[in-house]
Amino acid sequence: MTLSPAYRSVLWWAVYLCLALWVQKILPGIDAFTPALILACQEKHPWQLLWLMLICLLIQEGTGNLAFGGGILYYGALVAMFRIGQLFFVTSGLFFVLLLSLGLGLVRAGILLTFISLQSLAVPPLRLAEETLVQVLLIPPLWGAALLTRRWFVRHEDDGI
Amino acid sequence: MGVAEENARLRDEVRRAEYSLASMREEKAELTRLRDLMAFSPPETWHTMGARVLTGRFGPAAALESVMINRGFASGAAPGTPLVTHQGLAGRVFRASAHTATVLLLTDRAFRVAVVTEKGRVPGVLAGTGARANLEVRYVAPNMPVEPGELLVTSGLDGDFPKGVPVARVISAEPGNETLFQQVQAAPLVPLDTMEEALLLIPPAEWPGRQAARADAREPVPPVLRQGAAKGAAVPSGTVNQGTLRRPAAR
Repeated sequence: MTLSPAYRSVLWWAVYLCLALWVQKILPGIDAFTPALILACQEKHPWQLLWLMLICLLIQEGTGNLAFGGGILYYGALVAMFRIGQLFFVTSGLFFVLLLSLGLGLVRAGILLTFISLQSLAVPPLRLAEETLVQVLLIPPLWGAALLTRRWFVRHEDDGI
Repeated sequence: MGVAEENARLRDEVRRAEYSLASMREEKAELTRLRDLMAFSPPETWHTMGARVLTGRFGPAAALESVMINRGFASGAAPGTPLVTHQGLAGRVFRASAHTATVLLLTDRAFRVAVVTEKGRVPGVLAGTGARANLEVRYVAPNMPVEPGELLVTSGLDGDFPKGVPVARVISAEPGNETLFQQVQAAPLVPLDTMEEALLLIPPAEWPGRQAARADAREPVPPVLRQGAAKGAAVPSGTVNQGTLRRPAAR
């Protein structure tokens, strides 16, 4: 049975999201959806990015202990940094993803520290730093694996990458 | 019926039997866990309510060491309600929605509970230090006898937990280098990473913490603030009864 590229694309996203959930299960505190959203930004399909972001937001906000809004700020920052990066860098390359990953790590730490402070919670700073570092290091390889498998599976010709 | 059809039917039956066997094994394991859980006898005037763990710490917004359970304030899981298993204390409800609640585990850094050692009745405050790390018992006087292997049980002095619930086992007790107090390390009794079912300990109506819990259900208050409030709360004598809890076997 041959599936159309659109169906294959949706199927690929579904499989990726399931795998990302598994990664988040074994690595608590990590956002494994970020590489998918970077990929969606690079594909330049606004509706695809929108529904994907909505799914990620619902999952992340629903499963967390922090007040609602951190996910919106984080994913909003991702899109904003990507847009700004477009002005200065080639956004499809590894170098840009490394920079974006580093920037998102700082944004994540900032958002978490702000929310933790506002909610008067006690969270070990070392654990926050460790998780942020793991996430910064995890995004580029996950993005690379996602890019390669998506190209192979969906065979996009108009994805702009 | 031909041999090929008979073969296919038998193969199908074997598949169904294998599935049924796996399902039975799972049910048997669950039954064993639930029977163990039912061995827990709550303190007098308190009652228990079963809860299933839905998920552990998950995602970037999960800042606390916590699990989500399938009970909410609609079924009595108000903030502050202790969560126990037959092995001992696991945590307490931090935030409750109608049908689910987030339970702060005792390994979280914001978690505090007043404890005493089982033999020497030495008081202290047990504090979490993070996942997969030892618990700390703070404010243990320097000359008091605390032995490795000794059980720590709730003292009930904090007004949040009933007296006599096992919490942790002492790993080491050494004289403090920088403070006057002893440095006491302990390990939780409940395997928090693999906990699947637990019991909520519902306090009696006259329990002082229950009024605060009702207020918390309307407006959640962070645990660090609640602890401050609980420390100052008066505990009327006679409201706390030591339960007949099954103690874990000594190692």
